[in-house]
Amino acid sequence: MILERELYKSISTTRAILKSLRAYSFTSLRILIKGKGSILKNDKERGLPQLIDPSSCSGCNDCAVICPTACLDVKIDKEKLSSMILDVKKCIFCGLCKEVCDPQVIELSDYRSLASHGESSWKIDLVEKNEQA
Amino acid sequence: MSIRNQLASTFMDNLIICSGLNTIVIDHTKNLKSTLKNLRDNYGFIMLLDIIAVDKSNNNKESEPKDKRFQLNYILLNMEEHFRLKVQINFNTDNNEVLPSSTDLWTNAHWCEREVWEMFGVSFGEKSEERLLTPNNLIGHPLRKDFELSLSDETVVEKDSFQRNLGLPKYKENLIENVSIGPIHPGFKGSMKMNFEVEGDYILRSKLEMGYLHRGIEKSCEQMLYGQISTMTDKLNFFSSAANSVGWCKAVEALAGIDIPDRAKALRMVICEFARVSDHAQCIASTIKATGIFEGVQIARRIVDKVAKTFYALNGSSKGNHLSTIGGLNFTLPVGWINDSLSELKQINTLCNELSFHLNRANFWKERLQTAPLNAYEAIDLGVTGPNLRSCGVNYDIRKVSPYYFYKDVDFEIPLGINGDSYDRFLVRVEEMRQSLEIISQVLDSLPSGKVKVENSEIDLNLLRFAPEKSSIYSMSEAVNGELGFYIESDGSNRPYRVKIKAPSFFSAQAFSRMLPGTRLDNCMVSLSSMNIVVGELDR
Repeated sequence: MILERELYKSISTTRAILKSLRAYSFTSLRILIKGKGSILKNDKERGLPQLIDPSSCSGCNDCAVICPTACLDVKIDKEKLSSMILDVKKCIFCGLCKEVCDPQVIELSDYRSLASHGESSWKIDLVEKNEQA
Repeated sequence: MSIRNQLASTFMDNLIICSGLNTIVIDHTKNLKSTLKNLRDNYGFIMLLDIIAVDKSNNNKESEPKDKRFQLNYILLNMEEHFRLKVQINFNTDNNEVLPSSTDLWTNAHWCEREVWEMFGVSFGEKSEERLLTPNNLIGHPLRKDFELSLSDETVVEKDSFQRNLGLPKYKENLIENVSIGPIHPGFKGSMKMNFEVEGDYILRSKLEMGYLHRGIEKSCEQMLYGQISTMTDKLNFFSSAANSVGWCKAVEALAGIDIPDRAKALRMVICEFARVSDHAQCIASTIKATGIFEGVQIARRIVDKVAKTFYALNGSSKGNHLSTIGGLNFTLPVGWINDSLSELKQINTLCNELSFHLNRANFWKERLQTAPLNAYEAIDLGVTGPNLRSCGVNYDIRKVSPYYFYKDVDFEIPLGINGDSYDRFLVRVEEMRQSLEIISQVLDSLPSGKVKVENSEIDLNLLRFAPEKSSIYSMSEAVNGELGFYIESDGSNRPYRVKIKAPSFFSAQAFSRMLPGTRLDNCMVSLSSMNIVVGELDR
């Protein structure tokens, strides 16, 4: 919701609320029609890690060991990666997991958790996220 | 006769080379004080850089004498000959032995001794037995190898920060007040507390309290892999992360004997100098803010933004985090980055000129900044390094006197001040920014080609398996605030046995609390920001 103080000062309250509602609905409509757009891969971006190809993971657990804040939790089921849980609060975007990964399964995305990041998604399962994408 | 020969003729077999420095080994604690006094008076070791303690109890090696548990290393500096000396002593504290204090030789030994006491339980007399960094209800000494975390339930009664001055006449006692600033204040870089005893507007006594950040960086380093620690050192001085991790990587490379490629060396110089420009601009911005001028802040912030933009183009981190790694660099230079940054340099130079045009000759600015002077003798005695020392007129810069990387090949000058007050510190910082810009343009003009990371080295550089041989090193670099030293001791495993960080802000903060008496209360924030004390660095 757009709540600008200047807006309220310049025009009356009801008009301002209507105006911000209109802006809100326009943006949400645009997202519904066009979609968020695919994430462009840029290796100069630094954000939360994401998986490229989970099937080629060798299950060495190196990424969980090297993580300086211990934010990755890797679970291996029958020599296949079943889940990789990332604690968004702890990640410092250092990229060490990407560096140690020999089969190059992990890379850094351009997505960073901001203050608006919802409480329900403080822990993300990277494998699930990869399947959805 | 060089100082090395003079020392060799006096100390004979006790002079060895250990951890990259000439070392004098003392066999008994009785001889410690007399040797230190001799070294200071007759050999010109007028500056104490740091006191490093090591707990040897867990070290399962046969060669070390098992019965001596602790090791103390005094790192001394002779500024005329640029000669560093380590004085090493092994001892036990079974009978609650009290070591002789060296505060009467070097004033800055006071905080070092307090730190050694609270971390290791090695006492230097009653004055040193006061907590500096850790909370009051902590039981035990954290950096001992057998330490387990436990807190006492007793509520600690907070003592008055100042003892009553008995020499004061009775009528004056009512005029004296206690004022404290902190732990949270917009002018601090981090959180700490300053206690003042004031009479009217003037400060009579001052005391700094720190330890609010609870970082425990040295203890955490003992449990982390070598490659992981560079993410911790990034946050030492969080305004110039790039320069700190370069210092750490340089120390580890010296420990393991890795020679990095020329291109990596040159690029490390570039990111160090960019970090210096950004940090100095940040420091000037906070000084201007403390005086209440608006326009200057905008100019200084624009410099910070420009440096952040160049860092962002390198690896996506605008503060310059995670740029260097052990054995080279973490990034490859993007196409066109050199051209972009050269044009940025031009704009930063214009902004520097604008900054001095607006401020240098303004009477208001000059008057406000003539605070907290520090003379050269005091500065050396208090162990201040970096721009704060150079503003007192002492020509000492590690980039010039013991150059590392390609600093001997580039052409730059060292700006010096005269009075050592806040105004001189400001002038020195602005001029250092210009010199840094010159260094960057010279290096970028003739950037060596080749790889940015070591590829075929004898030692395994994999982040998980990297384990240097059993040895120790003291390595220093000229970080933004002064000499940033790392003492690393390895026991052959992939985690360091002991890491000690010699942070420049630690000594600046100690000097600052001694500079304040006599100045006005409303000038204290100006002096604090001009000293550029970053709490992330001094808190351990």
